[in-house]
Amino acid sequence: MNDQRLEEEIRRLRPAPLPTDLKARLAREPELHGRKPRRHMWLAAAAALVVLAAGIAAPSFFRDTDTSPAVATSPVSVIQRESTLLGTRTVDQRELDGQVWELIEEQWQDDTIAACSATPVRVCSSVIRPAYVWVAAEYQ
Amino acid sequence: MDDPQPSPPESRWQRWLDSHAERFFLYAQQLTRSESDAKDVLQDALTESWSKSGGEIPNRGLVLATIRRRAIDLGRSIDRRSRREQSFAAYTSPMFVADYAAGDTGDHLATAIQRLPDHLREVLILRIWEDMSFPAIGKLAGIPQPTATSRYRYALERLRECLTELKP
Repeated sequence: MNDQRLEEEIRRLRPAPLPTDLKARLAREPELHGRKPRRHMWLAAAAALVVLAAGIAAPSFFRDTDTSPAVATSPVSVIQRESTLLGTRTVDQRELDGQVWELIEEQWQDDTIAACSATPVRVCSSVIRPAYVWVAAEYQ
Repeated sequence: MDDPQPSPPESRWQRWLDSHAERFFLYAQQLTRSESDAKDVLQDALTESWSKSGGEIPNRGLVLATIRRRAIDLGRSIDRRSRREQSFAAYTSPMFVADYAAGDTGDHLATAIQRLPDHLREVLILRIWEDMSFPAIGKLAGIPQPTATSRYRYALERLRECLTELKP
């Protein structure tokens, strides 16, 4: 049997399928570490402070000149709010009446763009928050 | 604000697994010689590769290199003697599925490949199932290209001998 024929025979073999338990272990997409959010956390905190400061300062700024009856309206209005699921991971597993439940920790990124009517400020805020949900585990 | 509903699992991850995981697992088996170790190594390596790539499809060469590095790390953490004793006693899982149309030859080949020395089998697996060039294999395995080429030749020679013995 020459090399070419032998190689053809070898190529006819297929790698064994993944064991079912490994498939189950790989069923959920891993959480991502390499994305942008954490390095901008300080920026998000600073932006939130600006929004807060503008909200506090604006009413007192108008108090001396505004003769109309005071109407408490916020000078800050949210223009856009968006939530993105960054990743998930299983943090706990419980069995209840034969059904396995997994506690999934989800990492959400909340992006908010807000405008302040008192001062020409447009601020962007980005906050990472966890959320926890129980999900029925499905193993093949 | 209402809590956002979790989105369905990313299908790209599953598609990537469906198309590559079996071959990656074959390589992990080759490096660890233990099914349970291969599972751990593969899960860790895939998770690491996927996370580092930020959810994009990771480079295949980098995944293989990660599998290799993690298998070596695992091997170092286990006592060598106990590992050697366990490997031949415990490793009974088939690494291949033979094509039934090939008759007995497929079974003989699968057995013969599993009996190859580790360093020959690694080159054979990377060449046949990962379709890698000899320079790429040399780079991954940390050996010169001529060594990778000659190991592949030796592997074919051994397999040919085995088939001849089994099918006189």
